[in-house]
Amino acid sequence: MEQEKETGLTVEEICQMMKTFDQSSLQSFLYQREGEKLKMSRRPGGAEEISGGTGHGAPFSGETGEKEKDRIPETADRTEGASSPAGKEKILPPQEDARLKVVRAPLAGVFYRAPKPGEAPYVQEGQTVKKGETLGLMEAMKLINEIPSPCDGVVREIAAEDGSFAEFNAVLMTIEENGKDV
Amino acid sequence: MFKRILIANRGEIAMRILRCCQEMGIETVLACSAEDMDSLPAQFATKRVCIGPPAAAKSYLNPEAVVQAAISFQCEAVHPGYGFLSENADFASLCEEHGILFIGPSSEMIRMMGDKQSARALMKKHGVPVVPGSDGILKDWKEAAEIARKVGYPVLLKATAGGGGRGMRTAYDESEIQSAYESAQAEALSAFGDGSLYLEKLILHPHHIEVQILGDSRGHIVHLGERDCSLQRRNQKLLEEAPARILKPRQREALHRAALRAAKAVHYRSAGTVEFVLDREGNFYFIEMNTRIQVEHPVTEMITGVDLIREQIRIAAGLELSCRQSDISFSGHAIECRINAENPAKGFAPCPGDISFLHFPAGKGVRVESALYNGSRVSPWYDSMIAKVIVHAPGRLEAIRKMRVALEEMTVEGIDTNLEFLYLLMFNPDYLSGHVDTGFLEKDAEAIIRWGEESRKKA
Repeated sequence: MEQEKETGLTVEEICQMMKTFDQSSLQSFLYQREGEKLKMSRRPGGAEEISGGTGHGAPFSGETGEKEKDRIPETADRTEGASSPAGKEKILPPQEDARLKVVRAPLAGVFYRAPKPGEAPYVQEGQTVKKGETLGLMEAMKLINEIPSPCDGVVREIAAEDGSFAEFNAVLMTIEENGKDV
Repeated sequence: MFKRILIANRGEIAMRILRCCQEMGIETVLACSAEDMDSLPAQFATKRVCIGPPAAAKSYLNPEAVVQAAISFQCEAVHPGYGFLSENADFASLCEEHGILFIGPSSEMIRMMGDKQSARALMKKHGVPVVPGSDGILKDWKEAAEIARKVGYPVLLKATAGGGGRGMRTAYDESEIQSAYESAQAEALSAFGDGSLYLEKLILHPHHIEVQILGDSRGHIVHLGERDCSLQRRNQKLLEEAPARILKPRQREALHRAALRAAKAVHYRSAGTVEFVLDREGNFYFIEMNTRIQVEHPVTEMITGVDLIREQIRIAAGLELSCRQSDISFSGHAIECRINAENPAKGFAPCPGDISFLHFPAGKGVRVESALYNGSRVSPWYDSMIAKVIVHAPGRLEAIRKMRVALEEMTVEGIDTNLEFLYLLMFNPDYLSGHVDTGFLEKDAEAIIRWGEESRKKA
């Protein structure tokens, strides 16, 4: 089978795919061909993570956080105190503070620590969690969102009280990331 | 009276509502986006709650976030201001379902008036003159052509679910009607999910005159006079005046009576505005009814002495109107200029940024409504209106002179504004004569800007 393209996806093609994915109702998408891989997934919360490969043919994977229709990206500059892009951590030598990932409320609503009132909470302080594991729930008018862990690590501090209202961006808990696989 | 109200808006209107609540001893919770956490209303409110990121769609336009905040902060009522969710019937319903009082009319009323064609039909039934046109939704373009032949070209094809000038197309003669119909329908379908159209005669060189209405839950309805909002650019108002000097006394009376008939026909509750167009022959026609407090409400307040926000809150709390029609009198002339962070010389391009120096005008008969303060920031996320300067004087010319002084005195550094453009407008002969229609600004904005530049050149 003859391949027209020598070096894989163009920037325009990637942008087009991102746009299509954004407008679809898909939760995740994986494109894989020799020499390259493009993965997109939708997560309701957490920091934006962009880990980039460089050069031709190197694996490229991009993940975006909340679906954002507007041009201006939701980075630390725009929103008050939002956590810094994870990409930074890959470049700088790991520091004590850089391993503490703050989990912030992705919406304004009521924070719940357990799946249902009376049940055991999803996590406790000191508990080890995996990336993507549910840490808690947020609810606004019967719309329920799961709060996933942004990384593998240990729950250090749970700042939000069960059943209390949390503003958008409020600190819910802090996870200390495990340095093993960086 | 309410103990606590949630303000679901931002900028100058949030400040306006906040100040009124404070005067009335009502606590305020300001629901704002992450961008507005340091805004003036956020700092002065009793409590402030961040309900979403800067993007309006996720914050100010997020009904669930607003209602959840109202519930969690024990607010009995929500004031939606203008724009955003203020005319969103689903939001009003959501509030109603959760026992939060929506400061405005019922969700049913909002829905009714939001259906432009039905509102028009209802008004016609109650003897309120409407723009000549179709009697209901058009079946197809052939019906449109038939009606257009009867009422006379040019005509306007409008979306019943529309608003903000969208889903509208003009047709100047028979050859244009089919394509105008089809493209209006396509736009309406994509923008509003409903391609139903109705037809109106296009009134050329109209004056936009609107009447302020107040209604309470006991069925009392009053009008507070009219406003002339003909100075518009791209369907955005720039300057408003009260009263409308273009009207003769008989016309004014007839207009007020028609507005009252319109409001009574729907048993209107809260503050609302009945919009009309006035044609060259002096005939006026109902266009639509706005079921919210409007940006330009201060000019009505200046000439009547009535506090419209206070009345809205009282009405929502179940109290009667503080005045009967016979108590309302009109005094003097008021003008409002909308100060925008934009550059008229660059096609009125918006200019967000940080304000390095700010001085507002003041003095007898000068009123400023704004959320700006020294060191504040004009956000690129929202519209460019940053302040309203309102003057009130015994007559129109005196009001214009007062506005000249006020605009001259107002100083904003760090961003571009339309202050100078407005100032030049205050000397424009057509504006002074009072005979400007809605087409004036589009035609003459360039000339006004050039005149300013010419005047500054050294001889």
